[in-house]
This record gives sequence, C-alpha cells and structure tokens, in this order.
Amino acid sequence: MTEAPIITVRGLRYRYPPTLPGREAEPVLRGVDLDVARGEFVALMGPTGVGKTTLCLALNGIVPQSTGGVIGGSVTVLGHDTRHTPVPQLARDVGIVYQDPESQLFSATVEAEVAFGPENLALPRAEIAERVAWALNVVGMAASRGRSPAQLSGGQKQRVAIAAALAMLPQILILDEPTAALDPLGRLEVFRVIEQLRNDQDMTIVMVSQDPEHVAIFADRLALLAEGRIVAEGPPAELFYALDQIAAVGVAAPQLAELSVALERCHGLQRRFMLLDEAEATLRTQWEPEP
Amino acid sequence: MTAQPAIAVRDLIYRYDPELPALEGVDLEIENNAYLGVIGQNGSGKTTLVKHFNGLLKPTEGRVQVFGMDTRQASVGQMAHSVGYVFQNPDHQIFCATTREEIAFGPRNLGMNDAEVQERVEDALDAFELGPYADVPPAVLGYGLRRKVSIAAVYAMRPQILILDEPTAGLDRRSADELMRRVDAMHAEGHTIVLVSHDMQLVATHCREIVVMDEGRILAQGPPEAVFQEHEALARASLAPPPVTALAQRLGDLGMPGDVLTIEAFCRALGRLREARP
Amino acid sequence: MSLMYDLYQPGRSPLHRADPRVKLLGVVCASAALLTIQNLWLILLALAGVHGLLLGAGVRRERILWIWRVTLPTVLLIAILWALLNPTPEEPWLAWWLIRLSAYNLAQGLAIGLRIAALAFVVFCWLFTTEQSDLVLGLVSLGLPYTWGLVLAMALRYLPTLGSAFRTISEAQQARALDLTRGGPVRRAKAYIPITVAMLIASLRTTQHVSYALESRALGALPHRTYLRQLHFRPRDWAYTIGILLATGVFFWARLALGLGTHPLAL
Repeated sequence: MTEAPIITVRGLRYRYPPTLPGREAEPVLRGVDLDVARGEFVALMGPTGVGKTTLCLALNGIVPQSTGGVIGGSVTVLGHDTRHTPVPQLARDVGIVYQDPESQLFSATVEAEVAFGPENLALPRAEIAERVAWALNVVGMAASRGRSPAQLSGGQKQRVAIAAALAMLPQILILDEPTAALDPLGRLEVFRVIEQLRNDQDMTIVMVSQDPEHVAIFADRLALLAEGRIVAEGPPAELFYALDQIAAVGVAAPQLAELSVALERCHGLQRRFMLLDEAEATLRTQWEPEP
Repeated sequence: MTAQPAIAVRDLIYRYDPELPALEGVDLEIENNAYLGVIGQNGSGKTTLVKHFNGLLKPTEGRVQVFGMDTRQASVGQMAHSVGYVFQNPDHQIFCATTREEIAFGPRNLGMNDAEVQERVEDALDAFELGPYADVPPAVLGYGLRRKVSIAAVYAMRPQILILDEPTAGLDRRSADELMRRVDAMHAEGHTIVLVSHDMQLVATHCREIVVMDEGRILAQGPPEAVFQEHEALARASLAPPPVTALAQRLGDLGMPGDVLTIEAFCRALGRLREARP
Repeated sequence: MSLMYDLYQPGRSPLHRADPRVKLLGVVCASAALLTIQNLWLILLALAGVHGLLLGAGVRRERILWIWRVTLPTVLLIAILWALLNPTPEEPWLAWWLIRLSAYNLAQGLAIGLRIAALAFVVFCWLFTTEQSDLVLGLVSLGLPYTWGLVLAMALRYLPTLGSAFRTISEAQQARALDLTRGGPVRRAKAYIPITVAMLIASLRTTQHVSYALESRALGALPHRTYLRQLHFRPRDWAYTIGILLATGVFFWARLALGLGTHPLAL
C-alpha cells in the first residue's frame, strides 16, 4: 500500500480579479487534478500563459489569499487546505523559488537573505546559524555568504534563492522556471543543485520548466498543462515520444527524442532515446558493422 | 567590387562603463541581408556589442559604421530609422493604453503621417496576429503576447536591420516557432537580422552565420555548420552544440559528418551512410 | 552589475565597527548642527571632516565622487538662486532689477547649497559603513517596528534596481526613435512620458513579485521574530556616544551664546 500523496489538487478552478474595471478576467485554471507523492519529482510543462505559475502559487496559498479572485475545487498540501492556511504558515512546509532572481533576493548580503525565513519563524540564533550554513553548503554558496546578491551571476543568484527556501526546511520545493532567465552555464549550475536535492535530500519537487532536455534527465513524472487542465501525464521517457500530443500542447520535446521518432519513420529504427549517451549507444549497436 | 556592408565594426574597444562587460577589440562585417546569431555567456559582451549597432553605445576606440555612417555622428533616434532593436524584456518598452497605440509609437516618432502610421499598425497587427488585442492595454496581456507586441512595435518601423535580444526566452515552443517564422519572413524580404541568444538549437536552425563571444572578443565566426565544429572555441565560451549536432559528432568514427544541424539533416546523413555501406 | 550602486562598502574601520545606533546618533546630531549654521567656513570644515571620515573608512574615491555628482546640481541651483534672489544687508556689487549681488549673499548661497551636500555626505557616511541588516536591527532595537526597518532596507536595496531599469527603459524607447534632446522644455518633459509610464508598470510588477517572495518566506508568520545577527554596544560605543553628545552640547552652546555660524563669512 503506498503512502497518501503529499500534494492533492482536485478540480482546481481559478480566475484572477479583473485587471480592468468591468472586464471579467478569463479563468486561468479550469479543473486541475494532480497528485504528488512524497519524494517525487514532477515537472510541469505547458505553453506560456496557461496557468503554470498560478498553479505554483496555489500550492503555497498565495493564490487565492494574496491575489484575490475566484477559486473553486481544492488544494491540499500535507493535510493543509491552502485556501485557508495562512501563507506564512504554509511557508514552513512549502518552499518556492521564482523565475526572476532580482525580485526574490531583497537582502543586502547572501547570509541575511538565507537567514530571513528562519528569523521569521523566530528560531533561536544558534539554529538559524546552523540552517544558514547548511543551506549555503547544499547549494555550494558557502564562500559567498558575506557578498551582496547584486554582485552574483544569474546562476549564483538562483542558487541563493534555493538556499533561502531550503533554510525553512520545507518538505516540498516548488521551482517556477528557475532557469528561464539564465545563460547555459547558469542553467547547468542550477540543475546540478536540483539534481543533488533530488538524490540526497529526498525532497518532493514540483518544477515548471520550458527546458525538455533537463526535464528528461531529472523528472520522475511529466505533467502537461494546457487550457487550464492537466491534459497528459506520465514518465518523461514515455510522454516525450508522443510527439503529436506534445506538439498539440505547444511545448518542446528533447531534440533527441524527436530524432528517435524521425529515425523510425525514415530508417525503421525501433528503439527510443532522448539522452546523448543513450542515443550514441543505441545507434552504435544498431548500425555499427559487426567486427 | 563588393557591396557596402550593413554594419562594419573596426577595432572596437569599449571600456567606458564599469557596469557593462567591456569589448577588447572586435572586428566584424555584417553583410546586407545577413542572418547573424551572436552567442556567448552573460558577461561575454554580446549585448555590449549589439548596442553599438544602433548607437546606444559609442566606441571608446575604433569605429562602428551602419550603411557607411559612423554611429558617433548620429543620435539613437536617427539610427532608429535604419536599425530596430527589440529589448529582452518587453516590459521595458510597453507603456501605451492600447496595443494599437503601442505599435504606432515608433512609426510616429519616425515622422510618418497618420495614413502611413495607420497602414503600418494594421500590417503589424496582422503579421503578429494581434488583431484581437488591438484595443486592450498591452501591459495586462500575458507574457507571450507582451513579447509579441514588443516585437510588432519595432517591426512596424520597418528597420532595414533588426536586432533581437533573446526573442524566444520564456516562450513555449509553439509561440517561439511562430515568432521565428515571422523573423525568417523578414529575412526573406531582405532585412538584415541580428539575433542574440542562448538557445543553440534556435541559432543552428535559423542563422546563416554565427559569432561566438567570450570576454569581449570574438572567438569564432562563420556558418553554423563550421562554428559548431570549433570545439576549442565553444569550450572556452562554455557552449555546446545542439544535441543532434553533438550526437552526429560523437558518431564521427562511423562516418557521420560533424556539420549536421537539424533532425532532417541527421536522417539524410544517416541515409547516405547506410547506402554507402555494403 | 549594481556594483556602482551597492551602498554598503565592507570594511573593518572604527566607523564600520561602531554600533549602528551610535552612528545614527551621530547622523542626527550632525544634521541638527548643520541645519542651524550658514557660515561658509564652518560648512567647508564639516565637509572636510566627513571626507576625512569616509576616506579613513576606506570608502573608494569613485563613491565619493558619485555623491558629488548626485548632489552637485542641487547645490549649484540653490547657491545661484539664493545668491541672486535674496536681498543683501550689505552694499551690493551688482544691482539690476530684483538682483542684488554681494560677497555676503554669494557666501550665504554657497553655504546653504553646500549644506545640502554636507547633509548628504553625513547620511551616506552612515549607509556606506553599515550593513543593512545591522541598520534594520539598530532601528528595531530603538523601538521602531520591524516592518519599518524592512521597508527602509528594501528601499535602499531596490533603488539601484530602479536606476538600472530606468536606464534600460530609456534606451528601449530611444531605440524606437524617441528623441529626448529636441524641442523646448515642455516637449522634452513630454518625451519622458513613455519612460515614466513603462517604469511605473515595471515597478508595480516588481513590487508584486517581491511581496509574494516575502510572504513565501514566512514574513509575519509569528508576532515576533528573531535575528541571526546581534548588536553589541561595546565600551568604545559608550565613549563615542559621550563624545558625540559633548561635542553637540558645546556646539549648541557656542551657537546660542556666541552666535557661532550665523554670519555667512565672519566667524
């Protein structure tokens, strides 16, 4: 018998308050159902403007508590109803990292940034110090604790943002396109940290991403969000080969997954791959002349 | 005799602003109707370089000429007649009460009369499929649409040279493809395109020429087929070729060519390889 | 990127190590003293003193020049307007229409203008040498609610961000052929509308994101919060405090009893 899910979303519907008076906003979410098990890494992909960020914000209560608007259905995180449990309260269990580094690093030093959450929980000083040291270590930023976040590179900034969330010792980490604003090096840095969290910290992770190559490597499960609903979900190694379905949603599959499907069409290849090593090994065994 | 290049950069050094990555001697000629990709990490100087193309930055030493005119002789406003620049963040340019006005802003600044402005606006709304949002404040639209508005607003100025800084960042595949189809069409109409991007698949698919920047210098330059085989330069700039190219290069010992840029090219190359084999 | 604007300049000078509350007391006393004088020599002396403090604390020359760049237009404007438009008790060198120019009101104008610079320098002395968490902690320990301190710290933090957003936005609009240099003052002021509006929208967006980030890091979870850093009011801070109070006392005695600093030129 498996454990009950740590996150349960049922029939979630949501509409933001009108941005212009007298103009009703379109509903963003139109009935989302999603379960996430403890320790699972779920990637969320979907076209721009489809409500991925809204869903993230619903998981830590900012939607609807801070945004207002009309909500229906339910979101339960670790037994808390996120519509009513105060956001600062939920913050103990749900850490979140946003897309834009600039607006989530508001302190003058890295240390102060990471200490901010634990300080709000009124923890004893010694424990705050311990958590700050631990979190900065996990993301590999211990050497920069005295520096100003403004002096860091994009990748380093996002690692500090992750540390700041980790210092609350959350059981769930939400990442809303954490690498969208980064260059390839910064992306790699952040994904290394995420990989480590997944492997060593047994964290439950929900990550929104436009980056199929990395989702293919890290995620246990991929959920596709379109028109306010989850329209498909499954292991990336299955879903990414359903190219028609992926294209219908408007997101990208890993380029090598597309290649393996194309190779079946033009060369009758029966095997699938989406990672570089996998692809190389497959093609070698398939076509390398027998010695 | 060669035609005059669209942009000619000679011994460009830029060290004036401590907040910007410096340029340490850049030489570059961009032909008319080129489709150039500029790649490199943040801080490599790519944005500093392209900001010289419309005169936002002026050389500390050396010179930049656009259609033969030294950028030091012209204001950014004058340069805007021939060079369009779409900034990375659409929110840095959106300010009007309706999408229509937003798109009209540039053409009007260029001194066009109402009829011309009107025509340009309708054309841009059409090209970017923004008709349904023409009378809505662009600031309240979703990110993908704001991105489109910001590009349509520069498109309506019909600049001979169009610079796009990370045009597809934050867009899903379908919107990115749509947008790039529009940019490809502009290239086909004769415009010169300069694309600054981190997305190797994007530049490999669309650009005809690539410049790799690192620490304020050009490390490599040429058609993507060639540049993505310059492993040393790419490694120094911490860049990697797109996955299909990397795969083809790994299979080089089986006879796979290293200049494969797209899935179609990979299939064709593999076909030739299998035919040649007994 | 915001290197130029990052206010706090790390260091180990006595000024850096002094308790933020003592520094705040110094700022308040020095500002009060400055506001009561209009003697050019005393203002220049005060400026020299603050420069000495800043250089002694290892603040880089560029930063000091930066303060001058920011304040100089205001200083000059005030100095000129004051000198031109204020009646002089002395025989003027030049009398034309409403304008009466003399050594007296010229010195007075300069003194009042430079006073603005001196006040700015005093405040920057505090901001350059105090880490923001200490600054907040100092204010909180003086009884200010935490949120006020937080708002101050955030304002300081996001000022440079707004500065660079302003720069990018004005570049983006100029690239759309917006001309900021042509025409009369009205036309030029109008040309700034596209920049100001875009700036406003972008700031609103940032503000919203920052407030989400604050909430998701448990701001306001409990009525009280704790602090990683601690302030230590050391014996030398007591010494500074007594020194500051004494100096201020002596100054105000001299000011009131001897009329020190009331005349723009004479001492």
